[in-house]
Amino acid sequence: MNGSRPNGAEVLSLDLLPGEVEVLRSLVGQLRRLVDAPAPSDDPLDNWAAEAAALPLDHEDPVIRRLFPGAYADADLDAEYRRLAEPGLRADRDADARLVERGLAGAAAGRVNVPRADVWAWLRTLNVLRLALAARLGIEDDDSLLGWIGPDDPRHALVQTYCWLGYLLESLLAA
Amino acid sequence: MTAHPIAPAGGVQLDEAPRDDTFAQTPWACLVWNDPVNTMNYVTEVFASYFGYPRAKAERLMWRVHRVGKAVVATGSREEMETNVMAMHGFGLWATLEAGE
Repeated sequence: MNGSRPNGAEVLSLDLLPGEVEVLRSLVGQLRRLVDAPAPSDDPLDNWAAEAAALPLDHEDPVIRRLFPGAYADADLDAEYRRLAEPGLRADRDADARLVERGLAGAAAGRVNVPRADVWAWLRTLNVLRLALAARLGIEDDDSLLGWIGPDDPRHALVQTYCWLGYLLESLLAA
Repeated sequence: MTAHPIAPAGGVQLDEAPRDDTFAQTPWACLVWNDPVNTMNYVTEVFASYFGYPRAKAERLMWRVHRVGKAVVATGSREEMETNVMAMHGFGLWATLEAGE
């Protein structure tokens, strides 16, 4: 994969292998199911009602805990923060993921165009996917990955995906 | 402040009660914590992009997070810092809110 930006270009491009496009599409789809945000509407009242009716997130899940962390040491303040912050975070993550899905759907021969205006949606989504995989893998410090990179480890494929997402992220940042 | 304080005359009461707005003026801090997932380039880019910090300051804060384990990236009212923490969570950074000293 290459990230390239002709000088001054308003559209960046990522060159992926066809299989990589599918992997990314699948991961983004899983992220959207995890975040489980209500479908957005043009009517703010519809959005408000849908947010109120949305299923609460499972805070026992380490992935959810990492994607939706607390903000306060005080339990009451923290509960209030989560109540305020989570609907917006869920909707924003879903909106970012939908932009990435749209970009992937338009990929031709592995080339994905990323308009400059969409770059942060891509960066945040790639980063969130890394956070989710890291929580699943139990990556807790800088040394966690060192012992796991052997091909016999059952986590080998996930670790490879995790590293590949980091490579995509850094490529976009450098573009 | 005077060098030779004058004792209050009879009937004058010293007001030692704190001002009503003491708590409102207590600064809050937005802290970002180190984690093994967010890359150094990404964290620097978030600080530069979201807070509008010059690159040198964004990098300094990133290094502080990385080496010390946490850094105060902004201070201000509780509302402002809550907005910042929420934004950091949106970027996937691990951030918390703390009342100042």
